[in-house]
Amino acid sequence: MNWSECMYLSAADLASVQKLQSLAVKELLDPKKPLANVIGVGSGVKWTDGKPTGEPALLVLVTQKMEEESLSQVDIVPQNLEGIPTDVMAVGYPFAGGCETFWAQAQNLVNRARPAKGGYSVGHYNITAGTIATGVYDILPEGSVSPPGHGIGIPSKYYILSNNHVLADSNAANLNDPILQPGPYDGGSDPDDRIGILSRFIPITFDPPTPKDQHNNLVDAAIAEAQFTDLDREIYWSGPVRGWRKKANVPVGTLIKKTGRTTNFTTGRITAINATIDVGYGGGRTARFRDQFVTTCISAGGDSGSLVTTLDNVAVGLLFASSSISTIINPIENVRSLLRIEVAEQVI
Amino acid sequence: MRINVESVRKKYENDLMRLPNVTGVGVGERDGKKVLKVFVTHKVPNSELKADEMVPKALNGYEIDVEEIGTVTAQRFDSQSR
Repeated sequence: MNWSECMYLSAADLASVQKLQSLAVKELLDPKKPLANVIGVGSGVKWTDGKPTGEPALLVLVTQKMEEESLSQVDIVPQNLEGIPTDVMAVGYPFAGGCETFWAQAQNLVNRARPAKGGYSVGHYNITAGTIATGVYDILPEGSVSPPGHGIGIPSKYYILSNNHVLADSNAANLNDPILQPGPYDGGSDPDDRIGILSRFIPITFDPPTPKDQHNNLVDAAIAEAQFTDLDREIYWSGPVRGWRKKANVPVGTLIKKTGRTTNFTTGRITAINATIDVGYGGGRTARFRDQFVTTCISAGGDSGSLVTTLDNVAVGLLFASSSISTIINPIENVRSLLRIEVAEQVI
Repeated sequence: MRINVESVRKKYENDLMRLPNVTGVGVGERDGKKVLKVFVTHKVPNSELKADEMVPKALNGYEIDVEEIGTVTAQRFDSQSR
């Protein structure tokens, strides 16, 4: 039998499991004697060693799987009910709505930290809060943008990388304005929580006043100079960034991750490249961005500025926008060449 | 030789971005083949669109995936939406 045949049940098999389901609901979902972690039951096929067996089974949906030794006798899901095998399936905690509706409540990335890592809250004094991507420095002598090459030498300054709309208040800020860690919404105040000052930003063209078809926005990016000892360029929970990747080498399907102030650690997949996309900035203003990555939803408000890397810590982009379905990312290659900064010492 | 998908995107991007509800255009993949992606705030039945408002099924031999993406916004923390 091949796989696909093993994944479906005959009408007779299905009927036999479904007959059992009301008994199973009574046995396994009795509110008076709930089984640990069990949140649902269903009809399906028994899977063993990651493969469907074709055998009908009663599916027991649990928030998480546990070893039998760590459960008390009454919480163990029986091997079978009336001769039909059970299959325990982990489904987590289901929530109605899109990925924006849920994120962990216990957060430490909104706190003050020195040194501050990538992932922590940051913001210009006039905004709410965004996320630190990582620590960066100016492209060194002998370094180049096209083709990309890394220089060597002594950086004269060190910076926090994040978005223009986080560090430069969507073009409204002045150079040398105070940058707070944590961001103002998270309790950061000037001068006590000042971690740096705004150094450079790439201006965003907005409609109004400029019609969208005349926009040439590539990145929403800015840097703030900070003390070397106040920055730790590791990413919270992911560690050091090993290098960065040219956009031409980031295909559709690439698996990615980020750590951000609001949704903490998340993973996803790139679903489109070379995308042109209109992004709302509030107050009726829209900016059209070219050459973007679109990914599955990995973020919520406050995650702007997060560094997006491959699962093995190669930087691919800077997170800046999202809908309830997708997240939008600036390729790190464009961020590097426009701001003229290094996020890591090699192209991988 | 078939022209590459990136040239097709460039050539038609401005026309596609002018269609109602269209908020983005990109390059994706379906079944291992390159496709053009057109992102819309919401899908509308063809019966409610005029002929010149519809997203074409394909351009220069590249199929078009219409994907509902909703409204894309910059993502600093917004206390009002929580």
